[in-house]
Amino acid sequence: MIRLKPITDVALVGRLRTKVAKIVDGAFALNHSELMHRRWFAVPEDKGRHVEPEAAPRLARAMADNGAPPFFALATEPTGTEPAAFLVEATVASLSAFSDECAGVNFLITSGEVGFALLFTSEDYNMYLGPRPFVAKALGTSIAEGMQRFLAYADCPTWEGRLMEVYRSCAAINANATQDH
Amino acid sequence: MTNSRNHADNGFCPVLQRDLSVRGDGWIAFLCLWLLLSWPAASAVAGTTQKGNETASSTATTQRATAIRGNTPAGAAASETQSLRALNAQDKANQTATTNQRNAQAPASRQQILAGARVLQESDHLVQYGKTGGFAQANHDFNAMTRGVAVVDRSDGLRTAKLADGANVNVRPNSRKGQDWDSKPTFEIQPRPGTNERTIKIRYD
Repeated sequence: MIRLKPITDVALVGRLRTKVAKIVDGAFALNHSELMHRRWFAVPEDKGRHVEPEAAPRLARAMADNGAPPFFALATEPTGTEPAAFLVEATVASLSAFSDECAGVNFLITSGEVGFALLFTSEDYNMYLGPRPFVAKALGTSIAEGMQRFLAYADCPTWEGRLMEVYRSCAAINANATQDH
Repeated sequence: MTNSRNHADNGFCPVLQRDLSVRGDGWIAFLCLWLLLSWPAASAVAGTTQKGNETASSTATTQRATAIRGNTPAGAAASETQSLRALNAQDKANQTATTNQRNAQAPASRQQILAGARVLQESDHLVQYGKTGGFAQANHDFNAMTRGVAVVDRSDGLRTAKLADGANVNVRPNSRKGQDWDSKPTFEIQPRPGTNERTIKIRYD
């Protein structure tokens, strides 16, 4: 397995954090006003690991088709003595390495211009944020189908309503994106 | 009568006086007297002999015991067997102690961690379990499973580690600290990359 290259440029990491903070608040809370302003879509997906083996090819394809490298993995919570940012590639191998090295920590993958965001949370779901084509490719299906799948996953008493709250939040963002402005 | 009177007058006992009077043989009486007086010495000589025999017997017993203990060729085999038995017993005791020590220090297995846990929910990628004990039990389980591997303290109670089999584990005090709502402390076991196993997540009441 390949190893990710940590980003040691503190200034670059700082600039990335400033950009990302506009769309994600804290570890994984969404900034609704900015997302609606961009008319992005937001669709969550169930998870175990950050990147499951069957998800890696479609996520790599979505990244490659919707942004210019380099791509960055940025922690959205403290990482202790470990690096908080890495360079990642739009490949299955690189995403698998990311999933392994950044396991257990809230992370986000984006491009330099933050044209999309893949949010990998500790809350048993991932969140794909961006224009419709990007989100659909990341899901491997339509946005409507992706939302239905997540609803089936979230509508369970075990979650105590937490994932239903995520579902409703994304539904509001997606409704805004599909409206004519 | 004259002889008896004469013998009585010489101071011997009546028996001797009679013998002397019958045989009239003084040197025999002297011999008897000598034997009588010398009896303790003879007894002493006999006792010494008996004691010598006893000493010899005791020496033989000691020699047999010594032989059993292996100081002689005759007892070497027996002694070696005894020694081997003792060593084997010691080895077994050491092995048991080492095994117990190893078990005490070995990382806990998934089965051990999940003993007594109840399944809460299953999906394609995740199996959730419930246990009691709160964050203390979550940390206890994390520590038990990460014995012998490096643990990274991410701050705020979040710790992560990679197990020897390639799986990644983490423990969190609660999943949404600082957000609008909090969830329970969790201990998560993510299978190593490339496998189709499901992640295990334990939530602690």
